[in-house]
Amino acid sequence: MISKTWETLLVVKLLWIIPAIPMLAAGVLALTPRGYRRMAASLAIGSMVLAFLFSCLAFYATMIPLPYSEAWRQSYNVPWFDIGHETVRVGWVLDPLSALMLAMVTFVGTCIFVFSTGYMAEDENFTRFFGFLTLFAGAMLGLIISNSLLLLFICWELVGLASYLLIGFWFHKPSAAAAAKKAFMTTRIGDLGLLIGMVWLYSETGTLLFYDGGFGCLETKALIGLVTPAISGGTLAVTGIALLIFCGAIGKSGQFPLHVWLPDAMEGPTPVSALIHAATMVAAGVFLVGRMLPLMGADMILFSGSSPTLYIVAMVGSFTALFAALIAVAQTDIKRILAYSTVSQLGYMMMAIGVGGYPAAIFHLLTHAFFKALLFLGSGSVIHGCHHEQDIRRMGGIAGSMKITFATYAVGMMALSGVPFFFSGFWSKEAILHAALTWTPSMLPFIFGLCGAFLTAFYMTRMMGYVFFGNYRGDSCHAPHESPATMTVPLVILAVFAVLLGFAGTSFWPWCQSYLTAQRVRFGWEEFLHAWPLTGGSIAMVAAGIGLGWKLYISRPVGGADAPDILETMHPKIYNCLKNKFFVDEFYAATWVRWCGAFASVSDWMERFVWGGMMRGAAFFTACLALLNSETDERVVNGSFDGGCKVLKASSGKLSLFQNGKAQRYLCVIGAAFALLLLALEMGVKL
Amino acid sequence: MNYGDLLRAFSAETLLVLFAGVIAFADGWLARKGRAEQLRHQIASGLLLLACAGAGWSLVRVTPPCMLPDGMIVSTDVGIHLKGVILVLLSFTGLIAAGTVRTHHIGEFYILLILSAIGMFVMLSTENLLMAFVALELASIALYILAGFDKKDVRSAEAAMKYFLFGGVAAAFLLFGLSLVYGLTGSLDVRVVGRSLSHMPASPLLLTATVMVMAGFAFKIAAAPFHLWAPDAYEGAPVSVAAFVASASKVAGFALFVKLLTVGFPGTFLTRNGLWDAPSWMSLAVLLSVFSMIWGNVAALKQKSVKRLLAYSAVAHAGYMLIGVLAAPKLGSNALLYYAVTYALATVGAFGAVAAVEKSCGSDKLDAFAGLMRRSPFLAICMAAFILSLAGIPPLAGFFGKFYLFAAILKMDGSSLCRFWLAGLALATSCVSLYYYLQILKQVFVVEKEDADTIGLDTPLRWVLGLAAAGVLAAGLFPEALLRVL
Repeated sequence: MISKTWETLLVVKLLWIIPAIPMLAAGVLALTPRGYRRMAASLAIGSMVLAFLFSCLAFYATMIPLPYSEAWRQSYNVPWFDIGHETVRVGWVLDPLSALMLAMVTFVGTCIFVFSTGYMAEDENFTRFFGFLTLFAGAMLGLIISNSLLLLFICWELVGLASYLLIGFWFHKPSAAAAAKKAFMTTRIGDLGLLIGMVWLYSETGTLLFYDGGFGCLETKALIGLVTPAISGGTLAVTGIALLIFCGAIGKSGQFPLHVWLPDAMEGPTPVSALIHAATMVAAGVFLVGRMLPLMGADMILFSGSSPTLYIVAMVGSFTALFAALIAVAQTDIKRILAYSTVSQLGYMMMAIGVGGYPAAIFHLLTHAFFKALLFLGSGSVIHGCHHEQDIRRMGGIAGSMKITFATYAVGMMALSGVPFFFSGFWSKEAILHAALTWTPSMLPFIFGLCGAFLTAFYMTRMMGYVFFGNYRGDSCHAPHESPATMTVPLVILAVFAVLLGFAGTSFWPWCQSYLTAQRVRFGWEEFLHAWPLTGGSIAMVAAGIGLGWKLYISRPVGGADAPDILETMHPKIYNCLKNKFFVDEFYAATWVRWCGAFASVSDWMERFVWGGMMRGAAFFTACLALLNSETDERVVNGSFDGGCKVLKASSGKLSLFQNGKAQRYLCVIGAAFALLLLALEMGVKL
Repeated sequence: MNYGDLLRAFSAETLLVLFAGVIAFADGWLARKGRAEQLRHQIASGLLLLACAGAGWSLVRVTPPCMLPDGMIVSTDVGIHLKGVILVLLSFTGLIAAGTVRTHHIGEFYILLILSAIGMFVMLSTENLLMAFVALELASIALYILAGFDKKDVRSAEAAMKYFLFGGVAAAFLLFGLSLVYGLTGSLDVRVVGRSLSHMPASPLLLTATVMVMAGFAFKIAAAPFHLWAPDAYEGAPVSVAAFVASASKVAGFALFVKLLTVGFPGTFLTRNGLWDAPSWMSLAVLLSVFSMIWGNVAALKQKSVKRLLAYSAVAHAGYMLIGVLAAPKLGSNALLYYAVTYALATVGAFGAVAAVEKSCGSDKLDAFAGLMRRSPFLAICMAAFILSLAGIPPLAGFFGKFYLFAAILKMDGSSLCRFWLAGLALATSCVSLYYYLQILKQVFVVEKEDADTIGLDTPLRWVLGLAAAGVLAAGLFPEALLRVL
C-alpha cells in the first residue's frame, strides 16, 4: 500500500510531462519547413499517443487509492518566482476530474489528429496546421492539470490563442479572418472578468493555488475566510469573485450572451471544430466551473443551502440550452447546426453544475466530447465527400454512397438526441434532468431542459433527413464519395465509444459519478426504478422530436435545393426569427459595436486634433531645444573637445620626440625624477 | 625543518631546474646531430610545457604553510596561485617563441625563460629583503640576456643594452635603499622591518631609503618617469620576450612590491607637518601613478609601432595598478592582483598576435594590421578580445579589473581627498586610451588592404591565442571565481 501511494506521488510529481510532450512537438513543428509533411503528421500524432499513454498511467494512478482513502486528490506545487516577500507558486493536481479529462482530451485528440491527416491532405500549410493543433493540445492538457488559477489562466489564454490561429487558419478567406477576430475578442470579454476575479481572489486569500495541503483557495480555511462576513463583507466578495470567474466560463463555453463567436468559429477547418469547438476547449468553461465548485458554492453557507452564484449558473445554462436548440432548428449550414447544438449541450452542463449535479455535468461533458467529435468528424467526412459543400439543402441521399459515414453519423445523432438505453447521451442527459428535477429553488431549468431534449431530437432528425435521405440535390457532375480510411477509422472508433461510454454512468451502475465524487460505486435497480416517471417523460420527448422530424423531413423527402424549408411554409415569421438567431448579432452590431465605433471616432478625432496638437506643440518645443543643444554641442562642447584632442596629440608628439633613444637622456631623467620624488617627500607634499 | 621538507617546499622550483637541464642536454644532442631548428624548437618548447605541467602538479601538492627563518620563504595560498599564473604565462611565452624566435641557441632560450620564472617564483614566496633582491636579479638578468637574443637584429642588441643599463641603475637604487633600511632596522625580515619602522620618526635617511626603494620598483614595473627603457626594449626584443617581460615579470613584480610595501613600510608616516596620516610611500605611489597614467596614455597616441604602443600602454596600466597598490593596505590586494593577472593574460595574447603578424609581414607597424579580419578572422577576433580587454570594455576581464580598482580606491576612507581626483584622472585617461586601442581595431576590421594574403597560424600559436582570449572572456564573465583565489 505504501509503495502504491509512493507511485501515485511520483506520477503526480511528473504530471507536467503530459502537457510538455505536445508543447515540445509544437515547438519542433514551428521550426519545421513546409515540405516535411509526413514528419509533421507523425510527430503530432506520436506526441498525442504518448500523452495518451501517460494519461492512462495517471488515470490508473487515481484508481490506486480506491477505495477512497484521503489520497484521492494529490497535488504538487513548485515555487515559480518571487515578488517582494511573496513567492508565487504553481503546481499541478491529479484527481478524478483531471484524470478523466486528460484521458478524454488525449484520446479524442488522437482520433482527430489522425482524421486531420486525411482531411487536410491537400492543404499546403499542413505542418503549420499540426503545429497549431499540438500547441492547442499542450495548452489544453496544461489547463486540465493546473493546480493554480494563474497557471490555468495562462493555459486558458493559450488555448484561446490556438483557437484564434486555427479559426483563422484559412486567413485568406475574409470570413475566416473575421470569425477568428470575433472569437478572440468575444472570449476576451469573458476573460477580462476571469482576470479581475483572479486578482480579487488573490487579494482576498493571498493564494491562487487550488489545493495546498489545507491552505489553497479551494480549501476550507480560505473559504471560511471568504464567507465570514466580519472580514471585508465576505458574502459580497465570494459571490463577486465566483461570478467574475463564471464570466470567463461564459465566454469560453459560448453561453448566452457571449455565445455569438462559437457558430462563426466554424469557419475553421472541420477537425478544428471537432477538437476545439466541440469536444475540448469549449468544455473548458464547464471544467473551470467544476474545478472551482467549492468556491462557486461557498456562499451557500450564508444563504441556508442555496447559493446565488449557482442559481445564476443554472439559469444561464438552462436558458442557453433552450435558446441555442431553438436556433439550431432553422439553420441550414451543417456545421452551424452542430455548433448551436454544442452551445445548447454546454448549457446543459452548466445547468447541471448549477443545480448540484456536478458529476452528471462532467459525465455529460465526456460523452458529449465523444459523440460531438464524432458528429463533427462525420460532417467533415460529408463535406469532404460532397466537395466542400456545407449547405444541407445541397446535399441529400448520400446514405448510399457514404455507408460508413452514414452509420457512424447515425450513432452520433442518436447519442446526441438521447435515444434510450444504448447510447451514451441518453444516460448523461437523464442524469442531468434528474438533478434538475430534484433542485428546489426553481423548476425552470427542468422545463427548459426537457424542451431542449425535444428540440435536440427534432433538429438532429431534420439534419439527417436533409443530408442522408431523399435525392442528391448538389452538383450532379460530382457524385458524393466515401472518405479514405484515415477519416473513417476514427469515426468508427468514436462511434464505438459514443455507445460504450454510456455504460460507465447508467443509473444502475453510476461508476463515473461515484468516481468523480470519490464514493464507492453500487449496483442496483432502485435508482432507475425511482426515476422511472422522469425517464418515461424524457423518452417521450425524444420520441416526439424524432417522430416529428421523421414526419416532416424523411417520410416526405425535401424538394429541391432552393425549396423553402417546411417550417418556413408553416410559420414564416417564427422560422425567420430562428434563422436569424434571434437577431442577437444584429442587436450587438446595433448597440455595442456601434457604440464602440462611435467612441473610436471620437477618440480618433481627439487624437488627431487635441492630443496630436499638443504633441506637435511639444515636438516643436523639443525641436527648438534640440537646435539650441546642437549649437551648444557644435560650438562649445565639440570645440573644446577637439581642442583638447589637439593638445593631447601635440603633447604625444612632444613626448615621442623626447624619447629619442639616447640612454644618456634617459639616465638624466631618472636622476631628475629621483631628486623630484625625494624633494616631494621632504617637502611633505600633501596629495 | 629538515632538508626533505625544504626539498618538498621547493619541489616546483627544483623540477623547473631539472627540466632546464634536460632541455640543455636534449637540445645540445640534437644540435650536434645537426637536426633542423624547427624540430629543436618543438622539442624544447615541448619540454618547457612538460616542465610547466610538472611544476604545476607539484604546486598543487606542496603543503603550505612553509616558513623559513627571517621570512626567507613564506609560502601562501595567494603566492601559489600566482605561481600557477606565472607557469601559464611561461608556457604561453614558450609556445609563442617556438614559432617566432630566430636564433641558433635554441635550448638556451628556453632555459633562460625557465630561470627567469624561477626568480619570479622566489619573488612570490619571500618576505626577506635580501632574498627579494636576489630573486629580482635572478629574474632580471635572465631577461636582459633574452632581450638581446635576436643577434642578427641590431635593435635587439640595443634593447638588451638599454634594459640592462637601466636595470642595473635601478638595482643599484634598490639595493642602496634596502641597505639603508637594514641599517635603520637591523633586520632583513620584512615583518620585523615593518614593526621597527612603524614607530620610527621620519628621518631624512628613512625618506631617502623609501624613495630609493620606490624608484627601484618603479623601474621594475615600468612606471613613469622610470619607464624610459620600456618602449625601446619592447620594440627591439624578440616578441615572445617582450610578452614575458610585460606579463609575468609584471605580475611577480607587483605581487612582491605590494607585499613589501604593505608589510614592510606600514606606518612610515610623513610627520613633518603632521597632516598626512598615510605611509609616506603612498604619496610617492600617487605621484608615480599620476605620471604613468598621463605619460603612458598620451605618448601612446602617436605611436606607429604596435609593440611601442603596447609598451606605452603597459606604462599606463602600471599607473592604474599603482592605484591598486594604494588601496592594498586597507582593502587587501586582490583587486590589484586580479587586474595584474587579467592584464598579463591580455598582454601575452596581444604580443602573440603581434608575433603572428610580424612573422608574416615583417613589420609591427599599425598598417601591417590592415584588413586582418579578411586575412585571418581567428587572429582578428582574438586580437579584438585582447585589445578590448586592455581598453576595459565589458564583458571582458579588463573592464572588471578597472572596475574593482577604481571601486577600491573610492572605498578607501581617510581624511584625504586624493582618491576622488585620482579615480577621476584614471577614468579620464582610460577614455584617452580608447583612441589608440581603437586605432588598432580600426586597422584590423575597417581598413581594407588590396594585396593582402592570408596569414597562416601554426598550431601552438593558435592555441595560445585561443586560450588567452577564452581566459580573458571567462575572467570577465566569472570575475568572482578569480577574485576568490587571489
